Amino acid sequence: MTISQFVQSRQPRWKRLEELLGRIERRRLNKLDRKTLQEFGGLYRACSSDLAFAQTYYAGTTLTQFLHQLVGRAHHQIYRTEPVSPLGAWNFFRRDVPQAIRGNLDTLTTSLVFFLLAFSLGVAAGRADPRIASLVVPEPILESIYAGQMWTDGLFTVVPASVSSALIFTNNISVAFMCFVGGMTFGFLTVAILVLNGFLIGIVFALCAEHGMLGDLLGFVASHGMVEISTIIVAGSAGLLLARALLNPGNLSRADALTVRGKQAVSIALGCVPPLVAVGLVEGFISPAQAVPDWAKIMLGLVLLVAYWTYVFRSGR
Amino acid sequence: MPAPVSISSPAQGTAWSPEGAALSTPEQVDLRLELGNVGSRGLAVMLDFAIRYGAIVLLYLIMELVTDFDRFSTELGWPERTYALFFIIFFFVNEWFYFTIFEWVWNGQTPGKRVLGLRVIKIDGSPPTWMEVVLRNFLRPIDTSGPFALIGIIFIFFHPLRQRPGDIVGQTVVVRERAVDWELLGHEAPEAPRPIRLSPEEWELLHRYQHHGAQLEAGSRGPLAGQIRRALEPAVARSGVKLEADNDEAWLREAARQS
Repeated sequence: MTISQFVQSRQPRWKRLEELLGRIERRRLNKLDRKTLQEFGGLYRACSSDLAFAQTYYAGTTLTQFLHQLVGRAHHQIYRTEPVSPLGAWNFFRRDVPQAIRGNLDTLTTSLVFFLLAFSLGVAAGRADPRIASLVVPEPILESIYAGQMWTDGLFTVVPASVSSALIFTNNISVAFMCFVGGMTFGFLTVAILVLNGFLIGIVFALCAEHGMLGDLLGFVASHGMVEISTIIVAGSAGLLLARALLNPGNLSRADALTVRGKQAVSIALGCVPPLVAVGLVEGFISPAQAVPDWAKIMLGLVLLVAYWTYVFRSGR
Repeated sequence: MPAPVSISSPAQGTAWSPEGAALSTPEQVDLRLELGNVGSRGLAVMLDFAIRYGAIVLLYLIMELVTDFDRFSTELGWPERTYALFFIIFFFVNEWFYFTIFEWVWNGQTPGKRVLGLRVIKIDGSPPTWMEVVLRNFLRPIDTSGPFALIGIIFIFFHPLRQRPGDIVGQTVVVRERAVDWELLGHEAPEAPRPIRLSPEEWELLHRYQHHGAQLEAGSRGPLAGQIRRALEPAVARSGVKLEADNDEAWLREAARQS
């Protein structure tokens, strides 16, 4: 068959495929009726074989280039991303996330060690020289501590609990995600976030203890703080996982190590969303509430803490 | 603008090249796709950012105009409260999931990519899964770091597969989809008989001249047409066709119509 005969005889179905493509790209695949869909599938296969034929007999011509364009566009309409089902999402959080966290206990431990070291350093610094606090603690918080008043009292009087909850958990989730993303800076940013948070919390604890406000502080943070810190440490583990793939890929190439560990890391990072939303609500509604006694807040905090780590270590086994 | 064409067709090799990405489809056909370059991808990102922050500005203006609360300094009624809640969640989702949601739901495209004809696919040609979409987009803060997203630009510019770090981790590439260019075939009258029998190389020569000849300067077009005519005359004579033409260019036009 000469090339012109080939073009002439196949052109009608190329034209038809392009026409259907235009319709599908503008609207959606599932809006087509059954017959047209079947025709589209048949045309795609026919044009693929035209491309294969042209590649063999008319290699290097503009004709093959033309067919590459046509078949390429059809290819992306036929092979599509799988929709996520509610069941898939449930299984992801129930099984994949805790498995990814458990599968990387070494980075989790490293993350915990970084946080605890920074926390102790913060406590030590706060006791040794309170002036260090002004470097990391915001001015209004410092002033209210020196005045012997919980800064949280003022914080929640005008902002409704629902709004402050949303502000808190979106902010915390962003921090957790940045912990993960920071792994790509060879872990520098991840460690910086862990250390800064640990140091800050340590120094605030030291200052509050010095001004006799430790009870007030504990009463405020007990119900939400423990899970919050747990998730930040877990998110730190996700970032350290990426960092390790970059620094020490093992038997894999760096790109492959990043892909393999990246999937686990992003599962861990996304897994921080539900607990952070939950404790964000607790922090907005329950923590600042005067009506709830401190012992109840502490009990709630312990229950949440145990629930979270039970989920991490038991779920999806 | 017509697609740039080279004699060493991208269809011949199977290895990756900067201009094209080969992938083997389930139909066992080697498909070669054009990779998106720095320019079109940069423009697509700018468009997406304009949409993202345009939406935020719009919502903020509505909040300022319709409600009279000033940064939570007064007690909020339930409409303001609901709007503030919506705004906070929207801001967060917009910040972290704009690209992810669009690329997942729109089959590898965002509004910016759709305008520029770009699409995200996996390096083996299959569509990316939701997790790969999340991976490539969550690493954007790294890729857009440095002045004018320098890190990402350097990667896209120098990487053979035009991958930025997020693409490497997610194992994705961005391909460019062109509108199908019928002019490449150069057939205005599909039903007309075509008695001239040309080899693929001769056909290619003739049709490429028809496609691009008009862009040549008149001074060089004439001699080139003569050269091509002399190259094709044996094949035309073999087919037993007699072409009536005043000059070389008209002769070639007539030959193209009949082959």
